[in-house]
Amino acid sequence: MKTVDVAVVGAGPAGIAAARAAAESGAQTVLLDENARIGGQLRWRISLALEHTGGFDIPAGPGPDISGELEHQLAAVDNLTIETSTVAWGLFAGNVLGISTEDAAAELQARSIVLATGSTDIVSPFPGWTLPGVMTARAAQIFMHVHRVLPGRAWVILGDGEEAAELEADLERSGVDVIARCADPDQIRASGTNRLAHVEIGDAVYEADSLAIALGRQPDAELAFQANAAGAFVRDLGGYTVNRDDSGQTSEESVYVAGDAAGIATFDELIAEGRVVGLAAAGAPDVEIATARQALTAAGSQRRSNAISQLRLQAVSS
Amino acid sequence: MSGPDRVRDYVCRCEEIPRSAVQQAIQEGNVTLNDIKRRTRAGMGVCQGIFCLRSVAEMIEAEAGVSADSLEPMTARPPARLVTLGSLAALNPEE
Repeated sequence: MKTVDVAVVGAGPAGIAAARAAAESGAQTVLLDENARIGGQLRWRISLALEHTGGFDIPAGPGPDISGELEHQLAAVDNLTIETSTVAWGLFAGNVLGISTEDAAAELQARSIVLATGSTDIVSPFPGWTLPGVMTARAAQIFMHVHRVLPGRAWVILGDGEEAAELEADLERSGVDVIARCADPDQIRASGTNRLAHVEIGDAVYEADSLAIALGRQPDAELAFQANAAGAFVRDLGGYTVNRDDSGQTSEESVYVAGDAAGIATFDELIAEGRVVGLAAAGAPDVEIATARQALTAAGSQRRSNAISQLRLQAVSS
Repeated sequence: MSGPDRVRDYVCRCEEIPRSAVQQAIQEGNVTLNDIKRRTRAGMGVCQGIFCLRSVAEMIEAEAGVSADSLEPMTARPPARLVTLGSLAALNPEE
């Protein structure tokens, strides 16, 4: 079995920051991502990625090659190996990850494991939500910004929060019409023969070929739960996530969680938190971790830090 | 059930479990996420409950008055993503 010092699962903003910090402090580090290119949500939340490049220094301008920029920056980091198109599907006793490429599975053991597995879209079922043409906000953004495909011309958006506003701006920038918005999943109904044709909102009927579910995002800490990490449902963090100490370590020793997987965060928070957790996972000197924590406090929102403190584990004295 | 305006009201799209089946299971006294999973298969499919877990929790809250905040998540078991049996079979734990 291959063994490394630090394995980071997920190459989004938090995972990249964690892997970089761990590798720069001298730990042999592997950064895994299931996608073919690194960047995670930086690849499909383009409007936010360009506004909040804190720490990543991605040049502004039209059509930036975000993954290419990040790959270029990380190529200069010693002790760091990046494995893309690699899925981590299991976390077993003894800090062993089950990983797979397209046709081969392997085990990877690490002294510390950082789960930066991000988030998934919140969905709320309504009549017709499984019809082709109905998709999550993230699916719509991945179509547009990763695959350069415009999936529809006449859109309805379900949701009235930040995700809905972000998607609406993306769609309008792509030159398509948002014909209606609906805040309440109980008021919406989708129908069509083989794909979406009509959306009813209350008594109004709209002809639409696309309906985006933009109700917000929820943490995805499934691998930590596989390893029996303690957790709870906290609405202000987006849903189910794990208890952590102030270094990001879960109730399971040497299993850390960073970023959206521990509670939906801003880009600046993701990067600052990734750095704290990466340093801790690598066993960096306390003074370095303390400095990174100060940066996280400065970047952090009061709402997330309050919610996270509800899930705070006391640090285990060593 | 086919027709021009066919509408399906699934809670768990992976296992094609309709809202009515989850409601019935709650009325029969299944008020934890694992109970609903075992009784109806909601959450047993490809996505392993990522998309329906929250919907089922909210239904338990609405139908049975059990706060969603107090519900334990469904038990998480590997694999968290689709993996081919062939690739697992080729794993040699002794290596």
